[in-house]
Amino acid sequence: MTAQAELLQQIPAKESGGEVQATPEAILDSETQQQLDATLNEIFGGVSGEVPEQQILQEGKATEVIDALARLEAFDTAGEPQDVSKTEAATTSGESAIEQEGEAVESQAPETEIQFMAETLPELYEQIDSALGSTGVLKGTQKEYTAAELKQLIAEVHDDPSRIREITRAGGLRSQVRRILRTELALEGKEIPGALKTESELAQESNQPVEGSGKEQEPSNQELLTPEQQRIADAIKSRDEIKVALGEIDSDDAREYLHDIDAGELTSAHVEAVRDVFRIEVANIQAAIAEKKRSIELINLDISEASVPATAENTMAGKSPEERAKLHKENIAREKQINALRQKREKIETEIADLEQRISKLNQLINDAGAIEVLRNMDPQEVAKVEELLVEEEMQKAQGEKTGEELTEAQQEATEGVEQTQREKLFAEAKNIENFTLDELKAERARAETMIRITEGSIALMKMTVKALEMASSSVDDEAKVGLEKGIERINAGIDLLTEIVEEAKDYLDVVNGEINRRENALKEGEKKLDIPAALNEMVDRYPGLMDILEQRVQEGRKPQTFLEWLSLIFESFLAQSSKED
Amino acid sequence: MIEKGTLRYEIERIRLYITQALLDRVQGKEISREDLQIIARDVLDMTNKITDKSQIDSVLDSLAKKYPVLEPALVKQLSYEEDQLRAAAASKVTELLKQGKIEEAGMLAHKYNEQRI
Repeated sequence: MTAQAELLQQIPAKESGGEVQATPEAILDSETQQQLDATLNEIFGGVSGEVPEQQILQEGKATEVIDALARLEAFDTAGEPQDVSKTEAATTSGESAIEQEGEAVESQAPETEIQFMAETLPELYEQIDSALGSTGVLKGTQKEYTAAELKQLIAEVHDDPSRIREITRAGGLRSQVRRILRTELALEGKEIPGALKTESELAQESNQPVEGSGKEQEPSNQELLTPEQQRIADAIKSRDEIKVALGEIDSDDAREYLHDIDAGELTSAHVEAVRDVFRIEVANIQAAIAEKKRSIELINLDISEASVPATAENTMAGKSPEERAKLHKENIAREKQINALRQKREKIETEIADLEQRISKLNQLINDAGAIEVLRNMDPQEVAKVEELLVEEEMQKAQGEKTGEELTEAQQEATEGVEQTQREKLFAEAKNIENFTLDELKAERARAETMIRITEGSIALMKMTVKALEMASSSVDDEAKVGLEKGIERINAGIDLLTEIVEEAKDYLDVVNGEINRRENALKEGEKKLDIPAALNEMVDRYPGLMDILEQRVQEGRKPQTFLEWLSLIFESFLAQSSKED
Repeated sequence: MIEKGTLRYEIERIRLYITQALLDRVQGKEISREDLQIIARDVLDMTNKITDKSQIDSVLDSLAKKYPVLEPALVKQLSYEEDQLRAAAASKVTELLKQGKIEEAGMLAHKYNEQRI
C-alpha cells in the first residue's frame, strides 16, 4: 500500500452525505474531523490515484499534513470566517508560516513569519508588497514566488477560480484568496463556483436539491413508464447485471452465454444453464472463503506464538545496556512480525467480505435470471424504446450540471487509473521470477490470471459504457453530442490500452508457465530434489556434496521461502562443508 | 522537489511515520485535538532542529519517550534501517557472486545472519 493510501485510510469514515458521523465518544468534534478531512483532501487533492511514498516525501506532503495538524483549530478549510485571534495564536506558537510548505528544514529558509490576512484583493496585494518587497520571495513547495508573480497569479485566478489550487498555501495565501473571491461573488449576487466551495457545501449539494434555484423537479423517466414498460425496465436491469457477472467469471460456458445474450439468442434452457454457471461460481467462491478462513486460523496461531507475555526475562528492568539493546531489537522484530501478520489477516478478512458480497449478488441473479427470457418474449421495438429511456435517465442522473465532455473526462480519468493500476500490479514483480520458488511461481500465475480476468472484465464494462453513450448521444443536443463523442473516443482509446495490457499480461503468463513447467519437469526427473531458485542452481552445482548438506538441513526442519533465505542456507551449508573438509 | 537521500528527505520520512501514527490515533478516537496540536507543534519544532542525519534516531527516540503515541513511528524507523541494512547486504552478496567471489559472499551472508541473530 502506498503512503498516500495509508494516510487517506486514516481519515475518519464518512456517512453517505459526506458528514463525519458524530458519536458521543468521539474526542475530536465533527467540525475538527471535517477540517482534517478537508485538509488531507486538499493536500492530496491535486493528484489522481495513489501516490508512491517517494513522491509524498519528495513533495514535502508529510510536512504539510503535520503542519495542518498543528494548525487544526485555526485552519481555514475554504473561506469560512477565520478567527483571527486563533490564527495569531497559532502563528506565535512557534511554527513558521513557511513551514507549511515543507521548506523550513533548509537552514537558508527565511526566518520571517508571513501570514496574510486581508479583506480585499488590493489589501492583499499591499500585504504581499510589504512582506516581500521587490526582491523577497515566498517559498512554496515547488518554487519560490516574487511579489509580482504572486499578484499576477492571483489576478489570473480571479478571472478563472477553477485554478485556485495553483496558488501556494504558504502564509495561508490560498485560503485568503478563496475567502476574498467568495465574498466578492456573494456581494455581486453571483453563484459560488465549485472550486471555491467547502467540502460540506459540496456534500450537501450532492444530497439535496437546491431550493429556489428556479428548476422544477421533473418526474423521472421511470415514473412515466407503463406497468408493462416497467416490467421491461426491470428485466433490462437484471439482464445487464447478469452480463456483468458473466463477464467476471472465467469459464467457457460463461463466455459462451455472454455472447448468446449479446446476440439475443437465448432459450429457456439457456436461462437454466446461466443459473448453473452462477451456482458453480457460488460453490467455487464458498470453497475459496473456507480456504481463506483456514488461513486466518493459522495466522491467529502464529500471532499467539509471536506474542510473548512480559516476564522477568524479556522486560528491560535490571538489564545491562547491551541486553536492553538486544531486547529492544527483538521486540521490534516481534512487533514487526505481528503487525505483518495482522495486516495479512485484515487483507484476507476484506477479501472474504468481498466474496460474501459477491455470493449474495450471484444468488440474487440466480433468482432474476428469468429476466433474459422475459425480454426475449417482448416486442423488440418496445424493449429498445425502454432501453433508450433508461440510458437517457442514467445519463441525466450522472450528468447533473456537467457537460457530456466533463462526464467522459471523468470516465477517462477512471480508465487511466485502472490502466495504470493494472499494469503496476501485474508487472511489479515480473522481473525477478527466476528467483521465485515453485510455490511463489504458482502464486504469481494465479495473480496474473486474476489480473487478466479483471482487466478483461473492465474492458467488457467499458464497451458497455461506450454503447450506452452512443445511445445517449442520439437524444442530446449538438453541444453535448460533441462532448459525448469525444468521450467515446477517449474510452475507446482506454479500451485499446487495456487490451494491449492484457496481451502483455498473457505473454508474461506464458513466461511464468514456462518456468513452472521447467521446474516441475526437473523435480519429476529427480534432477533436483529441492526447489532452489534458478539463479542459485549454478552455485550449488559447483560444489559436489553441498546438495546433500542442504537436503539434510531441509529434513531437519529448515524451510527457506525467499531468495535471501535460500542464499543464507546455501552459504551456511557451504561453510559447514568447508569446515568438515578442513 | 526534495532530493532523495538528503537530510530533508530523511526528516520528511520520519514526519511521515509520525503523521501516520497520529492519524492512526485520530481514527481510533484516542486523541484530543489539543493533544494532537501540541504533539504536532513539538514534532515540527524538534525536527526543525535536526542538522545531521545522525540526530534523527535520537530526536525520534526523545519524541517517542515524551509521547508514547509516537512509539509506532520509532518502530517503523528502526525497521526501515534494518531493511536498508538487509538490502545493502543482499546487493553486496549478489555483486560478489557476479564477480565469482563465492567465499567472500558466503562470509558476508554469514556475518549478516550472525548480526541479525
